[in-house]
Amino acid sequence: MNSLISIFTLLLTALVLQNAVFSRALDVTALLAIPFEKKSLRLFGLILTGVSTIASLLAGLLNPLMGQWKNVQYLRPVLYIILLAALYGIACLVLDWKKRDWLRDHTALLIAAFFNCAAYGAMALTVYSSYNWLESAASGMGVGLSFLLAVFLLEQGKRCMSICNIPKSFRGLPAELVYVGLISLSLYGLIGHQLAA
Amino acid sequence: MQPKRNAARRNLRKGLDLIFVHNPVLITGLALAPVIMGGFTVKNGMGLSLVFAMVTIPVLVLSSFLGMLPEKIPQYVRTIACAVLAALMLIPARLLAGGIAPNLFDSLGMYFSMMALNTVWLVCAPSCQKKKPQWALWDGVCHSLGFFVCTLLISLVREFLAYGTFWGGATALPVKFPPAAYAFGGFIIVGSAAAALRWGIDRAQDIGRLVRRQQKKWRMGR
Repeated sequence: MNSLISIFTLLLTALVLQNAVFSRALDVTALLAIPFEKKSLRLFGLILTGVSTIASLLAGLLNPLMGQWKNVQYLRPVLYIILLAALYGIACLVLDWKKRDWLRDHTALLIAAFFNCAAYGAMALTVYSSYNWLESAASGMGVGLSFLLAVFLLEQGKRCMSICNIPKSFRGLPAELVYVGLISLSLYGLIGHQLAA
Repeated sequence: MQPKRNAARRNLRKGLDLIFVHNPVLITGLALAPVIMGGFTVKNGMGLSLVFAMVTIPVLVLSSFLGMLPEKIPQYVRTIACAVLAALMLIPARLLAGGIAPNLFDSLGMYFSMMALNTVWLVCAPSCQKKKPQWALWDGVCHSLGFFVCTLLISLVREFLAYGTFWGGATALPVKFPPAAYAFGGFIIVGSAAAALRWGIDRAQDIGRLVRRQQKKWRMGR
């Protein structure tokens, strides 16, 4: 029961208080700059959730083994990225075998979903927060789900911005960055922080 | 000979445009996370630029060489090769970054290593497969310069606003606004910088157009 509660807390924290996009700017490029369609962005979010969950779980399992290595701080990021590359390779092999057409149409989306800040960040967070394998998986899932929440919030923001008279130089990326910054500020306040007077 | 020279000139021009007109961070919106989260002091900005260059340039050149391989080799194998090289480049980058500031790696945390997965090489690597290695190298250098200029400016502004310092040393102006170093401060400052750069580019283009029109008038007047 206790572990269930701790996992639920972890998920909620990752989703709101330490949202991957608003608090850590993870994968903000995929959200704002890469021109995915609405449907593709949601699919991207779902794939990202799966990737970050599996990658974090593997990182959580590997961390105790890596802890004994010499110069682990140099090798850990390299190993994490190679792990992501291996996961990408396996996914592509399976898709090439089963759904070649789908793979051809979604190559860019898959590359962006496997090699991105959020998946790597979810793995790195397992070390910084000293999670066990179950907590690691939950935190990875939280990172992916928080991206989906950010997608939803940004869609609402874009809808509102489309009916506003925004100065020409602020249209598009700059306005969206400021919008994300304001949501980030509100979450910062929600945690209970206060700005210096 | 002439078409070849024109193509070279076009490529040189395209590369130079990456520094301001098509800046990878402020205009295209690539590699935003490290700049927003890590670029709050000039030292951090320099460190990020160094890792960016050390990862992006070799990966784009490798991508160009991979483009020479037979088409039988699937695209995903090429992407994996690029990702592995990017990861391996983190080791020398970290050793060099220690020269800028010994605690740089700790200060940047996971954002230092995250540069190995920067979206610039992920987006540009497929197009570099069709380019000659020297032009892929030129692309990498110009992307790195564009990233350097943007990161340096943003980190300079943020360090000055947040701590009232420059490269860790106190400045004459007593400014202290710590939120500039936070994530939301990063988002807002990067967004404002992107808007300012767009405004500047638009004005420069307007002036260029006006000058050309005037030149044409003078020539006709003669």
